[in-house]
Amino acid sequence: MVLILLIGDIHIPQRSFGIPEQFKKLLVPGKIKHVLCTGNLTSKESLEYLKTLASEVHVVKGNFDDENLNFPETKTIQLENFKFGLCHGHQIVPWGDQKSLQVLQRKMDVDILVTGHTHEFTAFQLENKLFINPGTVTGAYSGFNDEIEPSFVLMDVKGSKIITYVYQLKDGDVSVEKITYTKPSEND
Amino acid sequence: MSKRFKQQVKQLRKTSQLVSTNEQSKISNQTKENVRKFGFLMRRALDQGKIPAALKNASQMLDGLRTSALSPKNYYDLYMQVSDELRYLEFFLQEDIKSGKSASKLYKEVQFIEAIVPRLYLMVTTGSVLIKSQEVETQDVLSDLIEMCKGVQHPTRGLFLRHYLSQMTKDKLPDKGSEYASSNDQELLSKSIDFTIKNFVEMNKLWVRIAHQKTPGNLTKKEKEIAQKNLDIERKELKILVGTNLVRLSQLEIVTLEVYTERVLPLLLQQINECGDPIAQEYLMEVIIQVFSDDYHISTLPSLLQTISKLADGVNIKQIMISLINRLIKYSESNVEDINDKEQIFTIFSKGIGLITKERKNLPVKDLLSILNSLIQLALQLNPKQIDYIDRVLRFCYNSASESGSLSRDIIKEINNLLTTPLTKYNNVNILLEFENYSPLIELLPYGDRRKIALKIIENVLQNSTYIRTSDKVKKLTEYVKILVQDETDMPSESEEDEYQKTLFLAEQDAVCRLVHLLKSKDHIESFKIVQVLAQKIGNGGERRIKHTVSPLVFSSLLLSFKIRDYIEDNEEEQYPLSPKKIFEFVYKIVTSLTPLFPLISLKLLLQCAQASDKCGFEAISYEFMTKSILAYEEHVVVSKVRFEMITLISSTLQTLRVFDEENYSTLANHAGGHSSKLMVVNDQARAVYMCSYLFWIEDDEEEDDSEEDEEADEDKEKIYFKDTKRLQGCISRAIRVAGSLMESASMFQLLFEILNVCLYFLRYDIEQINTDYINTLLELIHRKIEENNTDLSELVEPQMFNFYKSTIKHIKYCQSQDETEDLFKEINISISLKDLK
Repeated sequence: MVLILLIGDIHIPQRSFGIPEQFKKLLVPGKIKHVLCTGNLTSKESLEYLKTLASEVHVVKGNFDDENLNFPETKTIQLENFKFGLCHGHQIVPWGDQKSLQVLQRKMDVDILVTGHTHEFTAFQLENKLFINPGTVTGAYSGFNDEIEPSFVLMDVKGSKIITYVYQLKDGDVSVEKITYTKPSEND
Repeated sequence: MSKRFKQQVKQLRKTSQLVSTNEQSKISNQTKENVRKFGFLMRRALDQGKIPAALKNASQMLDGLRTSALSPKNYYDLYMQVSDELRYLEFFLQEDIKSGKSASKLYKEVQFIEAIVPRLYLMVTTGSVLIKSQEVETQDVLSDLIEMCKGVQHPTRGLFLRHYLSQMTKDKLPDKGSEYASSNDQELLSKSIDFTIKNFVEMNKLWVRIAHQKTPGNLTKKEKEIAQKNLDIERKELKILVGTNLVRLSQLEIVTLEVYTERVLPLLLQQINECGDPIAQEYLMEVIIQVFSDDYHISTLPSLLQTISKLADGVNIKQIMISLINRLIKYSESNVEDINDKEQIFTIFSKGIGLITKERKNLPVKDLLSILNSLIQLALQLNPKQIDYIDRVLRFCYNSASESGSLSRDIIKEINNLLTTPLTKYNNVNILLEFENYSPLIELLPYGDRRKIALKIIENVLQNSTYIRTSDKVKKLTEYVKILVQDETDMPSESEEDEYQKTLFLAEQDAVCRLVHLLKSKDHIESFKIVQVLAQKIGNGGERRIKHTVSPLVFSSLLLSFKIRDYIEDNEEEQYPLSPKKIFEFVYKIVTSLTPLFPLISLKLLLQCAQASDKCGFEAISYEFMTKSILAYEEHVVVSKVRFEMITLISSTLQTLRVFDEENYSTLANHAGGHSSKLMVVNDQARAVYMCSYLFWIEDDEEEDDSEEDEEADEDKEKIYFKDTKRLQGCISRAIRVAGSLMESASMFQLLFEILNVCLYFLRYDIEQINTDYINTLLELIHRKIEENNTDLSELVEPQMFNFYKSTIKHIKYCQSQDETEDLFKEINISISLKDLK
C-alpha cells in the first residue's frame, strides 16, 4: 500500500497567503510516500513545504513557475502497478478539455494522468484510463472560474486498485469524497 | 581558654580591626578548637547533671564569639559551630525544667556571667526555655531580651547575637491561635510585630555597619580596596540574616492588610530609607516584594514607589521595579477579576515612574525602558483594551529614547522588546494599528532592526490570518513595514549584500506578497481604495521589489473585479458607484508600465487581465489587453524557447475568450497564427501552428445552463461562437508540411502522431475539410515515411512514441465500435497502420 498526495496550483505568494489551516492539519509528515505536484508552486517555500511531507516529491512546471527551478514539463512515475503521468496542463488546448487530455495520456503512455491548471477538482475515466485534476490547494484565483474551492487528493494505491480521497474546503469545512478505480487487465 | 589566646582576643578587641587572612585562619582554628573543647566539657557536665558547671563551660565556649578579628564569613562558621552546642544545651535544660526546676531561676542565674556576649547568648537560650515553661508572660521575656541585646553594638557580634535571638524565638512569637499567646488581645499580640520589627531594625543597622569595619592598617591601598571588596561580598552573604525577620513578619497571622499598611510597612520603609545603604536597600526592597502578598502590594503601591524613587544612587532600581511589576503580572494572570481598580494601578505607576525619573536623573535610559516594558506587560495583562494607556507609555519611551542621543545596543534591545511585547500579546495587528506611537518608535531603530521588526509584524498577520479591512489601516500598516516596501536612505546598496541578505530580501518580499491577500474589505469600494493605497506604495518600491510585489496586487484586483461584477448582477436596482471597468483601467496602467521592465511577467499578467475582463463582459478592454500582450511578445520576447511558450500561451488564452465580435476575434487569431508560423525552431513552429487550429472552431459554452429553460434552444444546439474551418485546415496542413520537412525522424513521427490526434479531435465535429479522407491521407503519409526509412517503426522511435501511435490507432478502433462515433470513424482505414505497428 502506498499513499500518494496529488497537489498543485499553490500560487503562494502571488495569489494566496497560504495553504488553509484545515488542510495543513491533515497533511502531516510521515504518512505520505509520494507527492505528485502539478506545478505552479510559484515559490521555493512551497517546494520546501512539500518536501517536509514526503521523501519523494515529483514536480512539473506550471506557467507561473520560475525558470530557474528547472522543473520538467512532464514526468512519468511508476507506482505499484500503475504508470502515472504528471503535467501542469497549460500546454494543452483547449485547457482542461477531456479529449485533449486523452491525447496527452496516450502520448505519455500512462494509466493515470494527473494535471492541474484549471483550479477545479475533476476526476473521470475514459477508455479505461483515469484522469485526475486535484484542483488548487490554496483556492488560488483563476480566470476560468471565480467560485474556487481549495482541494487536494490523496490516493491509496494497492496492487491494481486505487482508492482516491478528494478533500475539498467548502465554507470553512473539509469534505471528503471517495472514488475507487481498478486497473483493467491487459487483454481488455 | 589559654592565657595566650585570651590576650590575643583582648588585643584584637581593643583595635577593633580585622586582621590579615593568614592570621584570621589561625585565630579561627584556635577559636574553633576552644569551642570544641569547652563544648565537650559542657556536654559532659550536662550528662553528669552538673548544670552550673555546664553553664560555666558554655560561657567559656561562648568567649570565642567575642572576637573582632574575624571576617563575617569566618565568624559565621564559628557561630554555626557554637549554635550546634547551644542547641544541645537548650534541649537538656528543657528536660531539666520538666523535672521540676524553675526556668525563671535559671534565667536569672546566667545573668551573673561577667562577659556580655556569653551572658546574652545564655540569656537567650534560657529565655527560650523560660518561654516554653510558660512560667511568665511570653511578651515580658521577649521585651527583656530585645532590650538586653542592645548591649552588644559591635556589628558582626551584634548581628549574630540577634540572629540567634530571632532563631530561638521564631516558633514562640505570640500570634493568633499560637500556644504562647495568653490572650487574643490585639495590642498584646502586636507586641510580636514590634519585637520582630525592632530586631529587624537593629540587625539592619548592624549589618550596614559591617561595611564600615576597618581593614588591617598595614595594607597597601590596593590591598585595602580588595579587602573592602571582599568585605562587601561577605556582607552580602549575611543578608539572609536580616531578611529572615521580614519573612517572619509575613508569616504572622496578625499582620493583616490593615496592620501591614498602617503599622508594618511604614516602619520597614522608614528603616530602608534611613539606612541609606545601597546593598541593604536593594536587598530589603526585593525581600518586601517577594515575601508579602500581592494584594498587599496593590494596596500600598504609592508608598512603595515613593520609597523606590528615593533609594540611594547605587541601587538597581530597574531590578526592583521589574520584580514588583512581575509579581503583579503573575498575580493578575490568575486573579484578574479580583483586581478592582485597574485604572488606579496605572495612574499610580505613571505617577511613580514620573517621580522616579524626576528624583533619579542618572537612571540609565535602558533601565527606564526596561521598566516601561514590564509596565506594558502588566497593562496588557490587566486590561489589554486600554490602548490609550499603552500608547502613552510608548510615547514616554519614545521621548526618553530620542532624548538620549545615539542609541546603545542595550537601548535598541529594549525598544525591540517594547515593540514586540504588544505584537505578540495581541496577536492582532489591527489593534497595533490603533497606536500613535508605535511607528515613531520603529523609526528610532537602526536599519537592520527596523527590517526585523517589520518582518515580525507581517509574519504575525500571516500566522494569525488577520484581515485588515480599511484603507486607513492599510496605509498605517505600510508605514509600519515601509522598510520592506520602499527604499530607505540608510539602506546599504545591493552590491554590498551577501548571500544571506539576498535570501532575506526574497523572504521579506515573499511575506509582503502574501500579506496583500489579507488586505481587503467586505465592502468593494473600500477594497478598491485598499488596492489603490497598495499600488501607490508598491509602485514606489523600486524595480527589485516591484518584480515580486506587482503580481499579488494585480491578482487581488482581478478578484475584486469579479466580486464587483457579481454584486452588480445581484443588485440590479442599485446604482453601484463602482464598475469592474474601473478596476481594469487601474490594473491596465500597472501592468503595461511593467512591460519594458519585466516583459514576461507583464505578458502573463496581461493575459490574465484579458481573461478577467472577458468574464466581466468588457470587449474593448479585453481586446486592449490581448493587443498589449501580443505587442509585448513582439517587442520583448527574444529567446526562441520562450517565444514558443509565450505564443502558445497567447493562443490558448485567446481560445478561452468569448467576448469578442467576429472581426476582433479574427484579428487576434490572425496575429497568434502569424507569430506561430514564424517560430524559428521547426518543431516549435509545427506544434504552435497546429495548436492554433483550435482557435478556428469554438463552441459556445456560455449558454449550457439555459438549455433546459428553452425548448427552442434545442434547435440550434450546435451553438458556435466562432468558426473558420478553412483556416483550421490551413493550420493543420501547414503543421503536417512543416513536420514532414524535419530531418530528424523521431521528432517528425512524434509530430505527425500529435497532428493525427488533432485531426481525430476535429473529426467528431463533422467539419468539411477534416474528414476521413484527410485522415486516411495522413495515415498513408506516416506509412510512406516509415517505408522511406527501410526499417520498422519500432527502430525509428522510442517505445513511448511507438505506444503513442499504437494507442491512437486503438482509439480509432474504439471509436469505430461506439454507437455515437461509429458513423464518423468507420471510413478510417487503419489496416496499413496496423501493419506498421507489428
